[in-house]
Amino acid sequence: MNDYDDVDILLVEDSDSDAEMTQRALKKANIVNRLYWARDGVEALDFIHCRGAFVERDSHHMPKVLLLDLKMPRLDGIDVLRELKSEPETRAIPVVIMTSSNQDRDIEECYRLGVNGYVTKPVQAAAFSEAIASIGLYWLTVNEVQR
Amino acid sequence: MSRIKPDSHELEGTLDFLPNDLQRGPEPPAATAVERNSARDAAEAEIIRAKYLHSRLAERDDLARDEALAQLARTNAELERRLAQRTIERDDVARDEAVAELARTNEELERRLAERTLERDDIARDEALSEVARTNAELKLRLAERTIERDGVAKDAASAELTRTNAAQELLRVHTVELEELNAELESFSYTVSHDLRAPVRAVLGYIHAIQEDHSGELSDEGRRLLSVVENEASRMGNLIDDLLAFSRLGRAPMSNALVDMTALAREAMAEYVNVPGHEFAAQAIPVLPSVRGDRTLLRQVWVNLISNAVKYAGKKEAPAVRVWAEVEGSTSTYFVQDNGVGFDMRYATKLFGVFQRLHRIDEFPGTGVGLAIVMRIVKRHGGEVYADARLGEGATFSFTLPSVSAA
Repeated sequence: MNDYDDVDILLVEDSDSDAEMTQRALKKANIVNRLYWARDGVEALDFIHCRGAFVERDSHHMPKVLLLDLKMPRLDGIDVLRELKSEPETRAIPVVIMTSSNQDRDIEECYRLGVNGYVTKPVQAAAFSEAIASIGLYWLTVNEVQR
Repeated sequence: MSRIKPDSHELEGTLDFLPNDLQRGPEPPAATAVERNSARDAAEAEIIRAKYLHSRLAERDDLARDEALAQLARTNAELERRLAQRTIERDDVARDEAVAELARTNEELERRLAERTLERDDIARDEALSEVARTNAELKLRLAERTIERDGVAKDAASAELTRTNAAQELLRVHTVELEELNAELESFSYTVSHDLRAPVRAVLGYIHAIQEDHSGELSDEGRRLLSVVENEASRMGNLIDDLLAFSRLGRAPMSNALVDMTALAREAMAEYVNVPGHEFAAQAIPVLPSVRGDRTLLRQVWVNLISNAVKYAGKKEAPAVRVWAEVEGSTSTYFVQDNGVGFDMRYATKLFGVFQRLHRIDEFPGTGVGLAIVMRIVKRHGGEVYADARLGEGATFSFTLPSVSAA
């Protein structure tokens, strides 16, 4: 079994520390669902479309939530979101933007593209952990995904 | 003796009217019987006769002379009369002639006068006309000149105005472009700040949090104290960044324009911040405040910042008190937030509303120094002003004005 099989949480994040803090916060919140960490948008889309390194991934299993950073090298979050929401096969995947930016234009654009949630990463560690825990709990246990 | 002196040729032949006896002379007396008696008698008779003749002659001469004189007188009179008559006639003729002449002369004069008048009138008229024409031309010229001048002046003024307007517009356009560029730069800057500056701070805080959660037991008390200091400083930096971002967003974020219940906002903010554990704030019910039109979220921020400030600076007093009220004067409502806290020296009042400006040490009163700058910006965007009044150690009163909402 590869680390990309049966993934419930696709974390798309270029920052090592943010990725580490996110995973830590989920673990602290007892969210034990499998998580795959993609370093940028290209890797994220390859993962979703079972391309490149992910050709052997089970294309029928889609993540229950995609935690997407906005500002990333190569392909950034907005482009990933746009592509996912414009294709019928991937439109139903819940996407939550996790970003440092609270710029109005980013928020507006993301909602226009059909984002499912938008969270500005809190600077304060406790608040950050709480935010991650809430998101994880909601999308992995409360929310019903399309089967 | 003649009163008239007629010309000699006019009297020629006019002596015909004298009597004939004066022209012929007298007859001698006839001879008598005495003559034959004596020669002497004869002689004597002759003498007597001679004497008689002589006397007759003398008489006749006298008569003739008298007659002649009378005749002369008559003739003179006649001559004078006739002369007078002739003179009168001649005078009449002359007068008539003169009158006629005069009439003719008059006519001529009149004619010539008329002609001259006509001529003169013509000339005068012509002159007048030419004068009028000249005057007209002059006036036209001057009018034209004046018009040109005035037009020139007006055109110059208009041109100058246009130039000025164009310049102003160009300047405005340049400024607008500059402003847009600045805004874009600022946005890009704040984006960078929000993303690139926040991320490392968040990471530092995250890892400190991780150490404190999972490895606190492995640290000495001093180790935990030092880690706590690092956490506080990183946390403050995080707050500064967040406040700075909030402040920069205030100037650009679109504002809603709704009727805002200021009483509710102030009471909510007061309830939120006055309940500081260990401090008994004097119960100050907030009276009804005039509502305004504006952005509820932003105006809430004004109340939160002013009331939290008041609570913060009054908090160290024995009997801290915060009072809120409003006054309406004309079309302006003024809102007051007063505390009995530490106050400040009015000499530094101008620094109050600057970003990151603080009048107290951070260990005395926490804060980033952005709160009042945010208040100022929000109030100004709503068309109002902010004022501060304070005395060191005796509290401070902050007030802000906003346009009143008409009672209707």
